[in-house]
Amino acid sequence: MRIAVFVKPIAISDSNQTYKFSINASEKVALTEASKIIKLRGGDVVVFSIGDKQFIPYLNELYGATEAYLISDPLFSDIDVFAKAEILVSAIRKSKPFDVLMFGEFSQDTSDWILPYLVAEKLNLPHISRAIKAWSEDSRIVCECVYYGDLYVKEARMPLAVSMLDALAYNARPIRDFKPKEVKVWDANFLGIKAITKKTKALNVKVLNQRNPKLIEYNSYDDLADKLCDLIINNLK
Amino acid sequence: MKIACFSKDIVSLRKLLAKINKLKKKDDEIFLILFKYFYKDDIIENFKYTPINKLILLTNINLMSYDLEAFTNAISECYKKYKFDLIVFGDSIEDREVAARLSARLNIPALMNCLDFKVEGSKIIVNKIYQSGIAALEIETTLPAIVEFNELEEEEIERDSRAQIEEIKIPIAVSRVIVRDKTKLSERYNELSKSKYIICIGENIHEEKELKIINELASLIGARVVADKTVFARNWFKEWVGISNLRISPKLCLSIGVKGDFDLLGGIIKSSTIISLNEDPESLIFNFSDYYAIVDIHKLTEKLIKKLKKRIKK
Repeated sequence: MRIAVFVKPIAISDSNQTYKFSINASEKVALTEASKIIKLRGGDVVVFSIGDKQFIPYLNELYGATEAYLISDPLFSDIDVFAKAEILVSAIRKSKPFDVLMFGEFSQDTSDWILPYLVAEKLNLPHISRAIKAWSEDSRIVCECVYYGDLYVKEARMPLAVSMLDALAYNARPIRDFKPKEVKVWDANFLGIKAITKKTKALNVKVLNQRNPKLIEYNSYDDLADKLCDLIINNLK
Repeated sequence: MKIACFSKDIVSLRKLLAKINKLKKKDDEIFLILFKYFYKDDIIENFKYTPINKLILLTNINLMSYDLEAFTNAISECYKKYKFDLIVFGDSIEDREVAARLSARLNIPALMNCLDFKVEGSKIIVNKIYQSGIAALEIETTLPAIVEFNELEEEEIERDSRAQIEEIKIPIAVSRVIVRDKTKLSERYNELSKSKYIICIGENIHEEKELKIINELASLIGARVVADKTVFARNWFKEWVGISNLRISPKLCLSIGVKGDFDLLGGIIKSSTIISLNEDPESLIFNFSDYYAIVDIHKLTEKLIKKLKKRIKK
């Protein structure tokens, strides 16, 4: 069985400007569920990422994946979500067929979170969205999915796409039995992509200051603590 | 220009029609797409008297309940017949899903979380929510396009003379995704988003021992402690709060030692009340808070705990 998981490492620095990478919570849930399925059924968890070569050491240490591919090319900088979907589709077609494509529901795509839907449609795959758990039963994948206050159990035959919510992120632990032996880098030439056409053009960003902040003035720490107690207790009611 | 309107949710659809009637130009034609077996007859009847040019009633038994592929197929068939310039969706979760999949099906751009739009020739310029509401982004694309709205407001729609109605039988394949079961969501899921009170700590919490004091404060008010990216980088927490990771919407978010960047702000902006405490007067988070104090938090927290203990006992 082969499961592809799409991740986007995020650079995180502390106040000493020491950088480390992490993947977002919904992608961590996707990797966790994929690695659990593979541990039970055997096969491969193949991680794909689009981005800079600085991600390589992080991807190389990514527990829960057996193979890792970094899609990296100067042509792929400053792309919109529609171009990103085209690139991922090219990469999937270049690989051996997958049974499941797993995404974080909140994949990094300018906060619109539509990437899994675009890829699933372009590959004509059924798509189970908003999943919080996934497991395999024979030729099917079964998922628990959340819509508003309801929990749905949904199933579809493989191959399919699944996008995972971050609801169980605090408990998500990819299986630590395996990690990629190496990270292979695929560029535009390898994927047969000659040019990228962006469908959208960002014009202006305007910060919305939706609140009217009030400065709490105080004479002493005791005074401030009293004022904060009032505010906190009022908000607990 | 031909504008098609769709929403899975009736309330959202009414709001959408009101919005589009405000934004449309004089010569624009409004088409409303409804699924015959999905909406009740009286609801369909009511929509016949809304300010639209045409009501398209799609008929297929496979449109009785929400299915992403079936809904996408249905609207796609409609698009092929009428060649809409713009398809607008309401603000439900399902609307967002269908809009996204339809975009790939029709190979036209979908702009999500929109507030309004203007059309200039063959281009549409959309003003959309960005970074969970921290900012608005103006974005341009060419028509035809799909626009999905964000949190539409309640507005009255005028009653209009009866619209032209066309009922179309469309072929829709049986869904490839089967719903086995539906139950109420248990509290064990999404425990973070269910927390009513959150304490968010940031880079000015330097040592792990300070975390103990924060935890004591949290247990006093029944809050959960979360971290921004800078604290996450110290490996004290398994996750961070931010637009790039977990987003929260508690009743109260008390931020302590947080300077704030757009990532974090996008993660907490939906909190009902934000109180921020930090010693740096330039902290960005102050601009997005309801209350803030410029304070040395290391001198304040223990005093605050003592006072809170007394007050809560009372």
